[in-house]
This record gives sequence, C-alpha cells and structure tokens, in this order.
Amino acid sequence: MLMMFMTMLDSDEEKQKITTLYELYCNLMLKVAFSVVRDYDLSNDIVQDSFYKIIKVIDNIDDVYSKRARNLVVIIVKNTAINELGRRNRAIMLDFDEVSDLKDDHVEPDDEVINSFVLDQIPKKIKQLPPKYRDVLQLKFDCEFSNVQIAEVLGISQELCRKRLQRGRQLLLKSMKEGELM
Amino acid sequence: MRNDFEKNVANAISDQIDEELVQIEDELKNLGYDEDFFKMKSKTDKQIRHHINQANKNTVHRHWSIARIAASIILVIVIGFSVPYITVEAFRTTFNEFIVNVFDTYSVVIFENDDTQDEVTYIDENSVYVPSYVPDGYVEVENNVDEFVNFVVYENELGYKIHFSQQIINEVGNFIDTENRIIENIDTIFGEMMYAQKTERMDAFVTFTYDGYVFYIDVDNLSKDELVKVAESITNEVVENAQNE
Repeated sequence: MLMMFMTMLDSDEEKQKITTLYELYCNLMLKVAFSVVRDYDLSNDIVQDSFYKIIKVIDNIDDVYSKRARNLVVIIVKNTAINELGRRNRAIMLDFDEVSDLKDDHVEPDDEVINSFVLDQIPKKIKQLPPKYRDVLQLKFDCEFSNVQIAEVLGISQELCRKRLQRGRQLLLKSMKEGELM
Repeated sequence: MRNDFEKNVANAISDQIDEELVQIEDELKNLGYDEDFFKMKSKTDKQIRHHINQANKNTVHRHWSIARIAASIILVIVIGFSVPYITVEAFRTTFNEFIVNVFDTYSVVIFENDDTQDEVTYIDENSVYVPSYVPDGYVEVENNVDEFVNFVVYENELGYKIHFSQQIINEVGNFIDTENRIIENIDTIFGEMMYAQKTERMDAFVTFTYDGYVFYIDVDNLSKDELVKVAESITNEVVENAQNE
C-alpha cells in the first residue's frame, strides 16, 4: 500500500508540473507560434502539437518556473511552427546540412581557445549564429537533452541533429578563433 | 557535467531568446494584437488538459501494474501464513477489499454500440445535436463540427463555461476522468446517464449515449438539476424542423 501511495504521489506531482507548465506558457507559446505563422487557428494547433512534445520530455524539466523551462518551450513551439509553415507552403526547403557533408575543418574547444577572453565573446558570436544551430546547442548544453530527444522535439532526424550540433559548435568556435586573432 | 564553454553558450543563447521574445512582443503590439487575442481556443485548451489527464493516467497505470504485482505477492504471502487461522469468507472479504482499493479511483467507461441499431460512422449536417436549453446568461462562444465531433461552448459573463460535445461511439476513448469525483447514475428521458461531480466544487459532467452517439457535457459551475436539464434538452434541429413541417 505504501508503494502504491508513493507512486500516486509521484504522478500527482507530475500532473501538477505539466498543468503548471501549460498554464504558465500557453499564451507565450501562442504568441511565438503566431509570430511565425500569422494564423490564429493554426497557432492553436501548433501549441497543441508542441505541448504533446513537451509532455514527452517533462522529466527533463526540474523547475517549470526556470528560464531553462521557458527556453525549452519557446524553442519547441518555434520549431514546430517553422516546420508546419514549411509543410503547408510545400516549400522545398533544402537544408544545407542535409545535402552536404561536413568539411574537414573540425575545431575542438581546447585550452587555447577556451580562455576568459574567448568566453566573453560568446554572447556576441551567438547573435551571429543561425537560429537552427542555436536551438540544438541550447537543448544540448542547457537542457542536457540526448540527440534522440532533440531530434524528437524539433521534428528532425537524429542524423541532422548530430550534424547541426557539430556544425553549430564548429561555427561558433571558428568565429571565436577568428575574433581572437583580429 | 557541463564545462565553462557549454555554460556560457547556454547563457548567451538564453539572453538571445530574451531579446527575441521582446521583439516578438513589440512586433505583435505594433501590428495591433492585444493580450486578449492570445488566449487559447476553448476546444484546444480542453483537448490539451484532457491529454494531460490521460498522460498522467497512463503513468499511473504503468506504475500500478508494478504495484499490483508487488501487492499480489504480499497478499499471497500474508494469506499463505493466515490460511490456517481464517475462514474462506474472511479470505474472500480481504481479497475483495484489495481489489476495490486498487480500482475504485480510476474508472473506465466503455461505450458500446447498440446491436439492434446500425453503427453510426460519421456526423453530418443532418445528425447534429445541440442543447435547446442553456441556463440564463450563457451564450454560444464557439462551435465546431467535423466528421467525428460536434463541439459547442457556452459561456456566461462570469466566465463559467458549458462544454457540449457529440462524438461517434468508436471515436470516444474509453477513459473518462473520474478522479476525485462523486459518480452517480441517473435516470433521464434518454435512459441512464453517468453524472460525475468534483468533490470540492461544482465542476461536473454528464455523459450518455443516444441515437448512436456519445454525448458529454462538462460544466464549470452549475447545479446538477440544471446540468441534467441541459442534457435532456438536446435536439436534432433538422429532424425537429422536418417533423414540425
């Protein structure tokens, strides 16, 4: 009986967490979706789809009031909206990552690169990074998602997710190295 | 464990998201959209909340299956030691109490088609039902009909809502949220209805089958008599008009 009580308590807490998350962010999600698709009904559908994705990764959210939770919600809804818009417009969106292999200019964050001067440059360099790379980096570094989870919430393949992570990291490090030399 | 590089990247992206959200707010404001515009549609809101309940219920059931196995083992051990000291009747009582404890909170409602009636597979314009009675002060604020669901929302000036839905029997999930609700079967002009009310407030629903459909009426704040009155008032206006002519 104690075990049953404990499991129910867990579930109630989880239910409360999901409900709170929804109530906190549903309006924000609607705004983000609307800013992409400019259609109220479609934005509602996107929020709904996004929320189902969020439920799947709810275990990764410790504090629903945290910036991390808010960022996750924003990234998921924005990407769902972009995917939906692309699908509806039947646009042939050839992603550079999907049609080309990575160049051999692989850059690793080593001690030479990672010094305080370079770390200070990150905010500026992040602004120059295309959003699709920012999103995967954020989910990886902040939410500590696995590639499988990132692929699922962003609606992309695991291979594409891996490439975006690698390319995003490369672009960032490369631009920081260049900045350091200048 | 994240290193300094990853932490700094995450913080910088978070700041970037802050900026983007401010830009979105400004842009939407400049385009003339106010806060009221960005409220979820009732139907979507309802579906999401329903999904939250279902998702939670799935978790509970998964946990329970483990709990049931554990509890069964404990029960068998306890009974094994107790058999020499208890009667068959005592054993049956203990076992029944155990089963009731496990199942009494989470109800599963299964709707079945009447074998004597042709199965209804869709909703068309001739088969739409709506309540002909809603309490004073309530007005229709949303109405959606598609092949599988007819959904109408009424709201009064205090913001209390009545959600009415008509669905095809096969389209209705078997789980109905009865957690923390007092359940009662009531006789009405349409036969037996299931009435469920939250224990702590006037949040209630009725559900019943009629003419091959499942009807579900959910209210925020309405007495049982009023809710039943709404439920009993459902009419198919097309049929009604044809009969009157």
